[in-house]
Amino acid sequence: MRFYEVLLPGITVFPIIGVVVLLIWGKAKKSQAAVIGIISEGLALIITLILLVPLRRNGVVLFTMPWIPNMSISFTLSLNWLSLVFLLTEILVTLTAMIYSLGEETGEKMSSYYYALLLLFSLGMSGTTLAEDVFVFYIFWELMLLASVLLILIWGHGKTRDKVALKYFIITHLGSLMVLVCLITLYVNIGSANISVWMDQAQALSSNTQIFLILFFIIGFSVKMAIFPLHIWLPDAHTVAPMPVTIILAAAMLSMGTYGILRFPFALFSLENIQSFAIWMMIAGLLSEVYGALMALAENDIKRIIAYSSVSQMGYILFGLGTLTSRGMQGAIMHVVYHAIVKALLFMVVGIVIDVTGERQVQKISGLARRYPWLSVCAAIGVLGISGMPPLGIFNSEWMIFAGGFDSGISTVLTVLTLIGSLLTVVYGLRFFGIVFIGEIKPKQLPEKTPRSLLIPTMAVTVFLIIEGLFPGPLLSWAIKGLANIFGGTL
Amino acid sequence: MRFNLISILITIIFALPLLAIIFDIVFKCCETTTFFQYEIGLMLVAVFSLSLMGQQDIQTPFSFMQSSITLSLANTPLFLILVVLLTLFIFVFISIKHKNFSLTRYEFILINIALSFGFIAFISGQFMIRYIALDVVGLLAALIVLKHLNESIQFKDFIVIFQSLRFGDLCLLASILMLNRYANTLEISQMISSASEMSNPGRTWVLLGFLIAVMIKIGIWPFGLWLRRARKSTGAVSFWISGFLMSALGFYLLYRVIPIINLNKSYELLVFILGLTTMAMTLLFQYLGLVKHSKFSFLSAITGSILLCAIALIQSPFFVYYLIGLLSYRIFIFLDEESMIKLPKYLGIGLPFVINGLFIWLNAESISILTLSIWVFLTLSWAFTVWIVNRRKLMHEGPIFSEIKVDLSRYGLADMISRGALRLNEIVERDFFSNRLTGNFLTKAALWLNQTLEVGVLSQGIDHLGHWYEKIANWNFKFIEGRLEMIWTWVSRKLMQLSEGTLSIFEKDAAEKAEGLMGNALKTLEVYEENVLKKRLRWDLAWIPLLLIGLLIFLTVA
Repeated sequence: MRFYEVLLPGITVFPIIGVVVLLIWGKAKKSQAAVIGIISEGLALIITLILLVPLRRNGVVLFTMPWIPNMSISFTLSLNWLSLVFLLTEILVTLTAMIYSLGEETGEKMSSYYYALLLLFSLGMSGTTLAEDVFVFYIFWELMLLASVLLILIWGHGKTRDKVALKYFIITHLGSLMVLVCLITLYVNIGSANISVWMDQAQALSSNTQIFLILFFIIGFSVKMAIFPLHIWLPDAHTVAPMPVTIILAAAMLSMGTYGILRFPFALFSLENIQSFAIWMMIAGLLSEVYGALMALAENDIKRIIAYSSVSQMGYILFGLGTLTSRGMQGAIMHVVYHAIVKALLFMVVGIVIDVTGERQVQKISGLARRYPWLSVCAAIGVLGISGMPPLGIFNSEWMIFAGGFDSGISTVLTVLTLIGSLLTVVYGLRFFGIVFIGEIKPKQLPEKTPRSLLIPTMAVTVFLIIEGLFPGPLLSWAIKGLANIFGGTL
Repeated sequence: MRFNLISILITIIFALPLLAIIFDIVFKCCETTTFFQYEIGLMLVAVFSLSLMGQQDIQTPFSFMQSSITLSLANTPLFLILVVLLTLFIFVFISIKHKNFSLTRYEFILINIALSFGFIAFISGQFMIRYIALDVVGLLAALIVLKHLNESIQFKDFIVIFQSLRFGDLCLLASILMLNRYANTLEISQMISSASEMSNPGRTWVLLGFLIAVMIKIGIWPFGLWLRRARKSTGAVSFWISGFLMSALGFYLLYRVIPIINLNKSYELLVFILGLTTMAMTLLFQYLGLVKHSKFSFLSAITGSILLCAIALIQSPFFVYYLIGLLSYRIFIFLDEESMIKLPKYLGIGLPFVINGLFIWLNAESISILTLSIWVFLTLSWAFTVWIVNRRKLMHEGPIFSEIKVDLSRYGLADMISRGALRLNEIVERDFFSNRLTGNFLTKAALWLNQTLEVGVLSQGIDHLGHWYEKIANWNFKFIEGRLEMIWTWVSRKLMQLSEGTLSIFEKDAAEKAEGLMGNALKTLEVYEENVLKKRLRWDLAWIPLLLIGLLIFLTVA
């Protein structure tokens, strides 16, 4: 086994070590717990970056260790270009959320457990993206859910947090069960738990079985993506969760659904069978885009406005996937990353607004731009970013998604509607910015400055958003290579 | 060597405004407006030098989204940039003389960014870069109306301008992407020529997208709302972005899609009808006093419509001069309206004849009698419109024609043209609009159109749209989201009931029952044991087992 192959499990091992240390040191102060959390996650990031070198050379980094040989189950991890995009996004978002946590109240009590759960949440997502064995995949998939549910349940806001956590758990778990049905069916039919083996053999299954599995996979993962009407867990969960958890939920966890669709139905089954779902995915994407935007427009709670915009943005991604064209899917993958950055930024802005005003209803807040100019600059860039304004990143991914829509030749009308529907994003984005930041200052009693510990990470993400938009080359090339991992040269 | 010089000039033109911003912010050493004048002067020289280098395509070492960035230097865009820059130079020059027009630092920054990106939008040979630059200029045109952050009204203007321009850009994007599918390249020339390979319906969609984008950028009816708002909300110099840069970009975009229009006679007819209709509508709404135009925005809309007609009627290699003529005409109108300079009284009426006359003269050899007649009609209509407008002090005080009567009697016009026009006006008034039936019909039609399209969709459209969005959103919120919520609540309640019931029946009750049974059993056992223990042992019965054991031994031995 080569050195870099041994390094690969480090991405999952370091967070586990962090969790163990935090659990043993149960009475650590918040800053101490945060340092352990950030170091563990930071080491996972460093390993990922180191692994870029062998990945560039070999196209894939693989680690395998026997686990349950009698059932053909092994602890196999694989880093390829597709998983790299999702892995990096998830680790960076978690790190940002951990740093942001330092500046706000969440996790003041039981800090060790709070950071341990954040690490477990991240571990669940890292494992999901790296797993090459479905057994391992599903364990990490459920770990992600459990950790996030506990975070909402313990540190969530309001009296309804237990109900919201239960709702979030049940609905997303229903999606997970649909995925599980597919995984078991494939395991029984193929006799192996290795995804690479599935990629070779799944197409030999009967057409009806393939169609059934594609349908279940897409619906199951769409629940995680919060596609209309499977989104009903999202607004409440995003609203009740503490802000750093909301950031991870919106910016990283939603993208796991996209990864699932790419990794399973798209990678396993024949394009002919997937094609019968293409138009439905595009329609669902369009509906989600418009519906989410309308809901964001109707909402008055600033956290829910941004939460609903996730439903809308996930619509673009599903639409891009549904085009089944290289540009559309590349755009969808890029959109995952850009959406993560923009959404993290917007939630961070909203967190600061709530922190300084103590209010969440838009009617009670206005004119913050005069008092907090830097915050308003970040908010403006976030709003323009999510509106698809060039040269900020989402423009690039939307361009690709729309181009994919036209390339697909499935329905020009649908693509034009999706394109024009993006104007709604401008509408709710500007409404949010206009009400909160323009006009007379409200409420009257406001602190002189925003907390630096919150503003600095927010500004860092803003700068990152601009840089990502200006230099989309690396991300695009990763997306292209990532799709090649799935489709080879068939697309 | 030549290429290097071109590169240097292009870099200067693009980077100079951005450097000027940094210089101004960092050093704050000199008066912004004066500094700005020198900067524009230098840019003018650079663009002029560039225009002398001839037409060529330049491959830059940069790429975006894996598509190389190319620049296309041609006379048309460079001439248009020269005119636009010259306009800004004049504005700034006048603003130094008149303190009323002075420039704030905020405006200085935005205009400079617009200069850089506007330049890129003109010379980019690749559609994506051009689109990005256009979008940025659109944002700047909207941002410049935001002077004070506590003014919600300004923010409403910002929203209207930004959303209108963004809508135009989205239409443009749709056309670009549809073309891109056939062309497999983002090079503008190749994309435009690939339109001939498209099917007719596809090409029509592409053309419509382009036309809507152009109409919005120029401010042609019914898309002039944003320009009127920008005119109202910005100062003389800062209006340059919306009124001149954006219009010039719109003109140039239209110029680039002429090959698509010329692909099909029916497209030419469509564009011509569009031009005539938009002109008629602009006039009609102004006549009825339904739209509050400024003189500039009104005449801009008219010239935009005339440009559409011209493009449909005449295929000419001299279009660039016509575009420059129209742009210059806008500048005169603006300067006059802002009272920046005093123009001769009848220059506004004379210029349409000069511009259209020169253009028809340049194309004399290829013009048919029919085209010439239509052209004369258009020119007269244009001049007549200007003449009418010149009679009015304020554009938004009421219907034009009725006001003219008053104005004419007051000024006592003596010249023949005016008398002729007055007579025409009277005829039109008495014979046409005074007729109750026709008048009512027209008024009603116009009112209906105005209410539904101009007011309902566009004028208050954004607001209305917002209300509609809100209504739909609220409806969705109440019925779909609410119902989903109810369903969820019902399902979760049922689930809870079910699980509670299950828990109760299978867990609690069963446990209780089991516990009871167990308790009973134990109790019975205890009672039984007690009873057994209470009984005295009967030794007299001990012989039975002993007898059995004896019997067993006997049988074994036997």
